Amino acid sequence: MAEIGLTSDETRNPTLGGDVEDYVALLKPRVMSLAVFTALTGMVAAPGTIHPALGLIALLAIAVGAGASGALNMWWDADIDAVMQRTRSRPVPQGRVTAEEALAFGLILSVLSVLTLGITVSWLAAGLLAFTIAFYVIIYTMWLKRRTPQNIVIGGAAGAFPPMIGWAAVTGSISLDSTILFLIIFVWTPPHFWALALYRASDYEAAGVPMLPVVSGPSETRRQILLYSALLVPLACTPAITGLGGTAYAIVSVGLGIAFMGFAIDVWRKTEGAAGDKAAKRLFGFSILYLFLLFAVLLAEHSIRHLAG
Amino acid sequence: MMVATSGNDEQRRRQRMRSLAIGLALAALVVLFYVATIVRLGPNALKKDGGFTSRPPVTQDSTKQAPK
Repeated sequence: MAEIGLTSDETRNPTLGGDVEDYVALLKPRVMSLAVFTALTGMVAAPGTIHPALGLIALLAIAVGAGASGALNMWWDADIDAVMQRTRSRPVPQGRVTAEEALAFGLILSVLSVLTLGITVSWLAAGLLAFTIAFYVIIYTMWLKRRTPQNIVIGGAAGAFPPMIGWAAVTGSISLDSTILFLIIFVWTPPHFWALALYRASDYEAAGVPMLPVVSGPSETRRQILLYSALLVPLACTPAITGLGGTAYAIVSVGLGIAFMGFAIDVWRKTEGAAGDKAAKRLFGFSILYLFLLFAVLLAEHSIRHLAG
Repeated sequence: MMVATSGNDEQRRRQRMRSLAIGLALAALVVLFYVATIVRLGPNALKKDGGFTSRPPVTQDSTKQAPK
């Protein structure tokens, strides 16, 4: 049987157009999955109920909206993506999808996701989704990312909106509890990304992205990581005080918080060479687990309450 | 045997896959809006007149009252 192969020249030829998987890659599936997971938690934790079919449609719209902002980000950032090791294999810098195609893809999906959410579920949720996409693309990607080391502090808000959108899809409102969920992700974002930036500083420097370690140096970054961690840990425990989280959440948030502070202190203390990089990598990895577990416990507690009640 | 496909064949294959993906996405969107309509409007959405009538339904009581 003949095997069909392609030369590398053909796979990189933009006139061929992208494959379906290239368009899937434009959606940043991993970022998308975090948005879906936190939005689902917001929906389940919200007081009230939503028809399961409408809930599924809302989640799909939020997923597509998050993916659309990823595609628009890749359209705008193609030049720096080509320089950075972590992003150079993306479809646009590889020439498998043109920047214009990524732009059109992102815009169409943005409009579709917002309209679908508005028409079928809630216009407040749709408005928040539209604001999130606009914030991520215009405020973060186009404006802040290349201008200030505070880029991910402010830009991080975009990633923090999904639980609030999920909550609004169920209740049609914004509340203190949904704001707390927003704030947890918002304050979690800087130590998470700065831990990554600590051991990828040269990559960001080569691309001209003014991440904190590039502009202010690793010592100041380590200090800022510690400060934001000290803010995050008590904040992440507040759902247990407001009643949003139950006993399990209280135990998990305190336990994980102590561990988070431990990793942050480790990053602050180990400033040199491989040990410093290793500490930053450990904090980066743990930060993902930390957020996932906090939301997973909330999701589990409220799912049990729904099933019992 | 290794055979390198020509650019045209590969271009056509990718075009076909993209068209298929767009077709499936549009079909999914139609199903999604159909389901959302049924859920939001309830069983009335399945009635021939959409659950709305131009005059009140004639009931047993109203026919009895007519001679008065």
